[in-house]
Amino acid sequence: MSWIFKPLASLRLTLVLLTLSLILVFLGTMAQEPLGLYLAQRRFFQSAFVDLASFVAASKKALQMIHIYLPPSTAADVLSSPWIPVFPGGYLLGALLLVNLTAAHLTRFQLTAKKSGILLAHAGLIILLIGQLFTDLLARESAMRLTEGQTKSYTESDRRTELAIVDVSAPDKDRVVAIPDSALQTGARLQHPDLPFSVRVVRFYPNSYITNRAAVPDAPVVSSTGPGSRFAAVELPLVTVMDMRDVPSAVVELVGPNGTLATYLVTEYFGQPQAFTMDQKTYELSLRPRRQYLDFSLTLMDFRHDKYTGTEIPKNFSSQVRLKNPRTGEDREVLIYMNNPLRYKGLTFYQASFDKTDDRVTILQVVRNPAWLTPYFACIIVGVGLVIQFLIHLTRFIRRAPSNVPAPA
Amino acid sequence: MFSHRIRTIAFSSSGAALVLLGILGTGCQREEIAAYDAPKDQPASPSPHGAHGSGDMSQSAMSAPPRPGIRWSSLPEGWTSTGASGMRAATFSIVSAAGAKADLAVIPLPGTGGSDLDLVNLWRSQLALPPITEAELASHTDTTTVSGQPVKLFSIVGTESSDATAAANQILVAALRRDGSTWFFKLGGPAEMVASQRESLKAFLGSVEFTPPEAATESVASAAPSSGSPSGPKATWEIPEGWKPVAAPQMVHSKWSAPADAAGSADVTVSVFPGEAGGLLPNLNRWRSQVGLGPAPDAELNPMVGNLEISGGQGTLVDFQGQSPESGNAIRLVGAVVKKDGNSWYYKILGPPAAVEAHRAAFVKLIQTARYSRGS
Repeated sequence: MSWIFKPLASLRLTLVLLTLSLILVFLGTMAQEPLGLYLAQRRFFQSAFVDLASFVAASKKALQMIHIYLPPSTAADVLSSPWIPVFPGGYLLGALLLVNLTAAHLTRFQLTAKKSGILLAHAGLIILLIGQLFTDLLARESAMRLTEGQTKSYTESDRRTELAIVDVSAPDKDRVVAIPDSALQTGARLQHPDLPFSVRVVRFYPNSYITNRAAVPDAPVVSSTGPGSRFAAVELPLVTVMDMRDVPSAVVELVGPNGTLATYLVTEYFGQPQAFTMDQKTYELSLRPRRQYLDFSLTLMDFRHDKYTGTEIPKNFSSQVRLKNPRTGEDREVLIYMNNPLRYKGLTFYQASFDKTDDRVTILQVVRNPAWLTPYFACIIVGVGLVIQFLIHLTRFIRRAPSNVPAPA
Repeated sequence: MFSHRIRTIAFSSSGAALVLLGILGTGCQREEIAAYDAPKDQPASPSPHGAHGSGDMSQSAMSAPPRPGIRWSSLPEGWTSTGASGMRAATFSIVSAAGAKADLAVIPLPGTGGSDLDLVNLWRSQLALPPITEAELASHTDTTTVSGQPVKLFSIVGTESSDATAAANQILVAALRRDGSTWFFKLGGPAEMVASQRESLKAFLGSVEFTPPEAATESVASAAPSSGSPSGPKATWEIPEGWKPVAAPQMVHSKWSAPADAAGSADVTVSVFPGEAGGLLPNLNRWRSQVGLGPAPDAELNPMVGNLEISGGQGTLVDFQGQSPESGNAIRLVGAVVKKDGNSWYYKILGPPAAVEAHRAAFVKLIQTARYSRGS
């Protein structure tokens, strides 16, 4: 068995993995321009292997540094190319580094007091690696936009959308069927037991612009009398820069037991749902930012936005919110301001932004990261380990020191 | 000893790998359709601004989201504002001295989806023009300012179009990205006319200011803080005998049912909004629509309203009678508007004419006995 585990624990493997990691970080950084931050992250760091198209896109960008210019790849090129793995990705390199470190630790290091500092430092590194993997996999970011006086018990994704079909017939609550954007592929037929109809995606536009229907003669036919009868979506290339985001649209057909019920154009551009009635129930249909419901609510009591006198530069902004949790009976006010987030139920609400057009609106960034403490623990453990190892060496040095000092004449 | 060590390594390494694979596996799961119960959406708090059209969104006008708007200091000669409609925050009709017509649409779209080149090529396609490249974009781009912010002004001239009609047209578009939205100021019309309006457009854009989001009329009127709002303005009244409190719908401050024997019963509601709540006339027209009456023009505002004496000032009282749009039966609405501490309080009694008449005096007394406070 040693023939398997010796190579796993080898320092040579460590060097190879670290070198590959360096190349991966370099290429991933290069890829951010043609692919955009999020696609580059996904293709290089949040995958076991880097695919050929992404690798080529990054390489073309890197070659520009030595003045070799090739036709650049776009995000659309990469997304439409077949997935052919050519280089280890972040997950694979991270996992191999972890295995390498664990194996090296167990084969080469013995559990003795003299090595306790190194053991601790390595344990800290392992926690750091695992913690970052958990952060990558489990952390979720969203936002909560609140106008003064408004109460919300959900957060919204910045970049993901969902087709929401909401039964609003009940007076006290809504029944929501939320179809994630990843399922909204052109031609897909989607069903759910809560719906008396199925949804056929006539066409999905991952990024779109809305214009007058007359300007798009080949737009899919829409039978509803809503805004889709006057407007049509036009597909746009996916955006790749950080301060922009894709705005999807879709044409969906609702199909009942006896055939087509209606066809709707849904898009975030409309900003509000389209209502229809079926089987004496009223439904609202919308393509909206993906929601994550909470078991508590926040009400914005007051939003303050101070600027430096005579300028538009923000000096300070803060949100006074009322937190209500019907399950625990909690009802308290919290002040959220820069560097003073609200941490509650595994979520962190940061004062992130505000609406320049409406001084009553706050925008809170909401982060769920179950592993947020691991970097702190890991760094403390590494630090303590290094200090212990240093002290061990120092003590040994001091003990040896008198014998080396020449006796006075 | 050595074999024990190997077993330990094997266990640890394969364990770590399995854990990692497991985690990776969960991260790659296909997303499923979710179904759940959710509390009803609460609209944003009422806007202190006027009504904007909800034309295209009429199916759900009651829940129209807040909409931003613009204001301007002056309009160039020949320009007329024709108001907001559909997705347009404002529209202007432009007529030259020679009678040529162009149209400026101001469209705020949520999101910023699309690069400048994508959008220009989209508009070019509307004039049946071939797409241009990034390198060519600069020659189609001018700069100007909107509300003090520099913006690009794109010019799409149809002269090279394969379509004869499009060849005579031109589009000028200023695109301003701000706060996650994109504002398009799109001027389109006959090429010569549009070209002659270029400087006027720039001057107009320089004077534009953005106003906070506004809500559709119905949304304004129905969106008062609920009576449970700890921070909203509060009031106490002497409730007339026989009136039964009813659970106030979301965003209504208080509600009662006023029974009147054979005449049926009338509903009394009180709502409160900060500021002018869209202005008096739009709200009175909204009330008129509830009794089947059409909107009244500005000129009819004064004859329509009467004064109501209240403690420390005056309120506005109206009395409308018509036919219920739902049932077709006769229906009457007596309403009052009281402004207090920067808020507008809207009182309404609605029901069969006889029931409203039976409770009219008590309704007026309720308003006159009100004691208002700003809330916490």
